[in-house]
Amino acid sequence: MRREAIMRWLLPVIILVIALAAVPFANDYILYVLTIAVLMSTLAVSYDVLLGLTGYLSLAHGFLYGVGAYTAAYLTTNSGWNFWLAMLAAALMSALIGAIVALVAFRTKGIYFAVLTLGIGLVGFQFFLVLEPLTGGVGGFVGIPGIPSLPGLADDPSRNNLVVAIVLLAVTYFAALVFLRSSIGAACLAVREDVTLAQSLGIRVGTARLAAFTFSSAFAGAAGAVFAAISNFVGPDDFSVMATGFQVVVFVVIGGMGTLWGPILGAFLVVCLPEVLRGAATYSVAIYGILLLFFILFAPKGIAGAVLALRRLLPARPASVTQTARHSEAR
Amino acid sequence: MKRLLATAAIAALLAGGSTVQAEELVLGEIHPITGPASFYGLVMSQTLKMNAEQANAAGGIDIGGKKYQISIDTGDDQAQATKGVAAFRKLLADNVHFVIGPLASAVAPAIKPVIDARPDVLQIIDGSIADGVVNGKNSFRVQADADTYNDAAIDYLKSKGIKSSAILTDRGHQGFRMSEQRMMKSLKNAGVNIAAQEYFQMGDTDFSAQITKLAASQSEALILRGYPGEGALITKQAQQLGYKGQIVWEMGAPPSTVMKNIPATQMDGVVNCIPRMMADYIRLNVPNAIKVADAFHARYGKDAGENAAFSNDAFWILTTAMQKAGGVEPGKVAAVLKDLKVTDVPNLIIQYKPQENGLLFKNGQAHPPSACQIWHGENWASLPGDHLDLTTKN
Repeated sequence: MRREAIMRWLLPVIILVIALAAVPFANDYILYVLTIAVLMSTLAVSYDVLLGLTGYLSLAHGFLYGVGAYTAAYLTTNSGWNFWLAMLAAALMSALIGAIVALVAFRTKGIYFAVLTLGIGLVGFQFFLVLEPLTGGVGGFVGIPGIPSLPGLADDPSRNNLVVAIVLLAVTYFAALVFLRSSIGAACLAVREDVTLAQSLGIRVGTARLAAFTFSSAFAGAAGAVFAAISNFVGPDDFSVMATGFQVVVFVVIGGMGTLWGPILGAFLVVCLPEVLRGAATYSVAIYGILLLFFILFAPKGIAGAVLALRRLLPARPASVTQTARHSEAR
Repeated sequence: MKRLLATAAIAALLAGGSTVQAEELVLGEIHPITGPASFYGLVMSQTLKMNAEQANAAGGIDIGGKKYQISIDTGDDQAQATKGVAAFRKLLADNVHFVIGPLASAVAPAIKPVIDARPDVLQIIDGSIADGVVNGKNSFRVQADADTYNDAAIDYLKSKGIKSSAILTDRGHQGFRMSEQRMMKSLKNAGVNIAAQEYFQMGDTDFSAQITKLAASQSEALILRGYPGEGALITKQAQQLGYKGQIVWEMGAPPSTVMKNIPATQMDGVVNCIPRMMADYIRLNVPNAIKVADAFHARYGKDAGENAAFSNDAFWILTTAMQKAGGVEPGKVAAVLKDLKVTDVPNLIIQYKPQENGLLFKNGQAHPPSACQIWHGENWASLPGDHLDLTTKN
């Protein structure tokens, strides 16, 4: 437990340091891939609050990510909103729609919940296609303004995008930690372990699940807003169930459910691996599939579980010299 | 933009000890090499590589008095927008300034903001028919636009005196969906009543609901707009459900793909109206088409696919423009492209309709001719009276 708590703080800091250290040296391509990986990490962390904490498998997350992207795209392009305000509005819009989805979906559980949210994801994707005046339809939404420059990054939009994505990930991660440690977070864990027991203990199960879903949706929406601004274009394909909807489940399952830091590793692996394998494009899909199988078969608790297991395998640290010295001094 | 070959000395030796120094010119390409659209994209990539090998074997391409060896840097977009942007940015990071592609209409609009912001990059689109992806400044297109597909079908209906048609469109096909309103207007202007309109999605396998509705409209024709896998299944199911009207496709449809989804006999009489593609030019004995088809077969042991003609032409148009510009500065090459005439470029397969003053491009868009073919036996055949005017050097 203590090891996991250390990882929960240490790993994000390590990733943050590596990403920021890479910023001055990376070319536009690496910066773009890193930015997408960081954005997907945000999506993964937000989704882990739902799947990891409550155990409910939603397939509507790609749709909620899309709601954020289209909301920000519309507000910045057609209504002239400032990006930061539009991002906030996108998060609120996704949270609102997420809450509505949750109220409907939580009337079911287990496989029925997954199928219901799959339906919502499919219907949402169709909305993106047919609501042409709002979304641009199949042709997508074009001409979206980029992210405003941060101080010192005016001439470098790629680095600017990465830094903004990292900040959003950091905010999402720490908000998720706060959520986890709150009474609602504890209630969510109780729901995951045993709903009936949680109810019998007087835990307001409905409130806890609704809070997790809404929290998760809000940050998915914010990630969508950043995606729209960095791409200057959004099309419906990016938000289909078969694309982001399933991918975000893969991030969390491969990374390690309920750990918050594991899904970040999962997202980085899934986003970056195909890029690393570009040189062997013909075999990249096969290699990717084999790796997924490996994790599911041999590391079912994901990368996070494997990392923690490795740490447990390390020989216990002997009473250190320092401790011995302290002991001697005490005598 | 260009890298000095470390092996220039070898080239000099091969050239008989002369002191010729070859430079390498890297051309980027962005096509789906893997994934569901790879049956289109792989052939396009292979065609470009074959073109480069041929040019290099002939001693390279002479640009401004320098001989350049061409190499192709491939970006696999998997026909997905985000992967396409990543692949495109990787090409830019590799210092590539000339890009041929993409094929996928999901990718072309996604990379357009990057193209528009990079005047030091020049793009020739050889696949996507999406609207609004060509700016005529640093992006050009040799593939037809969606209107060319639609107009070919409408011309066919007019020629047969057909007065009503139902339409079934792939909902996810950007080019067809974005040109929908214009097509409706053109059909009305041509005196063709739109009896019913329905949609499907790539990957669907059961179309009975849509077909039942369309058949109830008793239209004289059914236009199918999408990809050949679904086109074949719809045709088969339409016949099973008793649809008697003329079925008209608008899709690049290699016979091998068609026959995976429908027995050849059930395709008899189906008409396909599209820009002329590789198989057309071979069938019509265009010398450059036959030359490329033979070389492709010798190199890869298979037939060149439908889109090979567009990729082949993009390669020769680009390199000819470089030769005329006398250098490989993208801005200068783009300026030459604007003034390039159809007759200026060697090795073209497609017999482009010359624009005003014989120019190849107008606002960045070339004009490949379209035609309708009819399915006969196990292949597409020319309609009676079909003929082709050669407009390029052959």
